[in-house]
Amino acid sequence: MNKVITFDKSAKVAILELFGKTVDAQGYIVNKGNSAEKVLAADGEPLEIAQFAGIKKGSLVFVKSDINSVVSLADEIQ
Amino acid sequence: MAFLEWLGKVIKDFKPFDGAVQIHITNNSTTNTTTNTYDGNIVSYKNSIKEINLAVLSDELKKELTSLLPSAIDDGMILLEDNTQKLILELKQGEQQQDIRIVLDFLKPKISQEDLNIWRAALFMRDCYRKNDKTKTQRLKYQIMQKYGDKGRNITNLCTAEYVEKFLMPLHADLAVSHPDDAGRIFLKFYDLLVDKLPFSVFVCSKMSKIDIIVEIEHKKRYGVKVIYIHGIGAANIDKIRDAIRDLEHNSECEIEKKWEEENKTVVASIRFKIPATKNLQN
Repeated sequence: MNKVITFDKSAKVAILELFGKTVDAQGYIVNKGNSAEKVLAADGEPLEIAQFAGIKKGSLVFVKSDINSVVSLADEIQ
Repeated sequence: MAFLEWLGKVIKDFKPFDGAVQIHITNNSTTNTTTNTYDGNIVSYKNSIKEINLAVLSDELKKELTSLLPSAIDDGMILLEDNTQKLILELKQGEQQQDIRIVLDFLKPKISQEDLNIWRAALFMRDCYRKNDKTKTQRLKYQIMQKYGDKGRNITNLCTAEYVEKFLMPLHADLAVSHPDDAGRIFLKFYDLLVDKLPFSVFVCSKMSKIDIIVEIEHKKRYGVKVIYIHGIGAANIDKIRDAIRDLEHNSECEIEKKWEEENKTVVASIRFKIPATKNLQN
């Protein structure tokens, strides 16, 4: 089996919910129990749902969809 | 129960050790789950792709998935949106192209990993530009600039204008002959100055006026360089560059020798100031 599990746009929020996250009124990903606590992407910036592109290892690293994150991620994927 | 075991439980004909098997997650309540379903939860399609539809997954299975997925990620599995996976594949395919490979192989042993990543992104952007995909080119350039600021913008401009091939590679070859013991250090010094300050290049964008171009050229003269290259794309930018050089020729206190190379609405104008450089870049 491929080590990458893909998902489409329709599953973004449902996947986040599997990890105890949700989306606040401004579109940022936050912790379900504490909506003031924004989820940060690997670059340390708060992550918007529109930019959410996945989750990888490292105490759950939330991946952004921009080209810079893609370049960093490319070598990790076969 | 491990994640793979769980997949075997919910996916019909699941073969965990078949490298071609791709798991895909959707959340589509309108999917017709009566076709190719297994326990009404999984839709299997295109043979090697097995899809988990969260919208129709039972509460019990969803609960199990919630407890198993984080540990699967910890074991090295990656969850990735389709579009991002597609982008990664495009990037990797692009990096197999000879023109990109040559640049990356040249830069890799010479610059930092962070800079190399900017160049990788910029080369991907250049490829989109050459394929005439304007929207994607602009989006990628914006993303690179958003993360890396002026340096990101400079590298995208240098990359599009082929500075690695036309300037850095010949420079390194010359240095390897003239300074065999110190070529790497001197090269890096030039490289850093180039990507941080663009000491001898002006990239004209639509927001710049003729005056902005002249100011920028005058600013570059402070680095003591003898030649300044002015790049522009599109008729409006080319006209502004022509006007700016004309003004400089009339008003500058030093004599100017100019060269003009224009092709496919892209121009590289070089102007040589005949006053000797006041500052040596190698110092």
